[in-house]
Amino acid sequence: MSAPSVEWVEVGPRDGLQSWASPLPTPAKVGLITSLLDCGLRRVEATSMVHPKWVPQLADAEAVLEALQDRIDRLRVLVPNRRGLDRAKDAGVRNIAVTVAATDGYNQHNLNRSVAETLKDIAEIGSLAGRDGIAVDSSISVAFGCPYEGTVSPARVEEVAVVLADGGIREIALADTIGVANPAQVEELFQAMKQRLPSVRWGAHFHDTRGAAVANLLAALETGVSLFEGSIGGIGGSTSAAKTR
Amino acid sequence: MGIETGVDLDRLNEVARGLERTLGSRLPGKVHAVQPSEAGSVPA
Repeated sequence: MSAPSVEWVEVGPRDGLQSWASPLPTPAKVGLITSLLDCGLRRVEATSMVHPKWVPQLADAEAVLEALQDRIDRLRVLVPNRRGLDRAKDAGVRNIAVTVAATDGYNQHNLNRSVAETLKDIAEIGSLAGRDGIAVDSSISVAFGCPYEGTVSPARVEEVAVVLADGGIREIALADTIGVANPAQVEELFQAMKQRLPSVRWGAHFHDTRGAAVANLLAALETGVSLFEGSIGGIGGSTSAAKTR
Repeated sequence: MGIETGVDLDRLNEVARGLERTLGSRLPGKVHAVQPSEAGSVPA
């Protein structure tokens, strides 16, 4: 009998560095991503195709990807819109990530759009990416609590997840973007989602803002979640949420 | 816990310590902050 296994997706080069104020030179980013892959991580979220005006740290996305072409199949790139998809395709990316919040309040601050508008954008991105054989993963941010709207009900997360799944997305990570989740809530939400959408591969993305990330991870493991996102050295946090990590 | 990750965790911690040196700043994670010689040791 083989040991249980989990997949760890390293998001530090994107999610971690995006909120780091001092620019990190491109060769240092390439070196970091290479080192992470050499540790055995099967996938690394390398960068984002966000407009440099919003995230200057990731303005060198194309240069980073160009330097990593020999390992492009193990890299994932965050795509915020149709223009970002075009950039990702031009860079040879085979796996993209899209994100939507569970609440309009956070989505407006993070993406300047309503949840419904972003879901429409994601449907278009998913359709276009699918034609080119590009895998699309999604995350639902503030799935456990929102800095603008407070408590987020499982029903609200489910509404968003159903639209994503109906659009053909098969991997969805639930993100505790501001680090307010607790283990009981984690267990309840993942159990509900797995029951409602059993064909989806569920992932978890926790922040350690209140020191509960490990406990939440264990709770997710106990519900059968086998996909986790993490950031090297705990670096990072949302650019749209106050003081998370 | 006997859960397979496929990741060399010692090497990953070294990467985190290297990133700290590159950034010139301590990172908030806890595990990488423990030097290999300290890991598993029990204070007297």
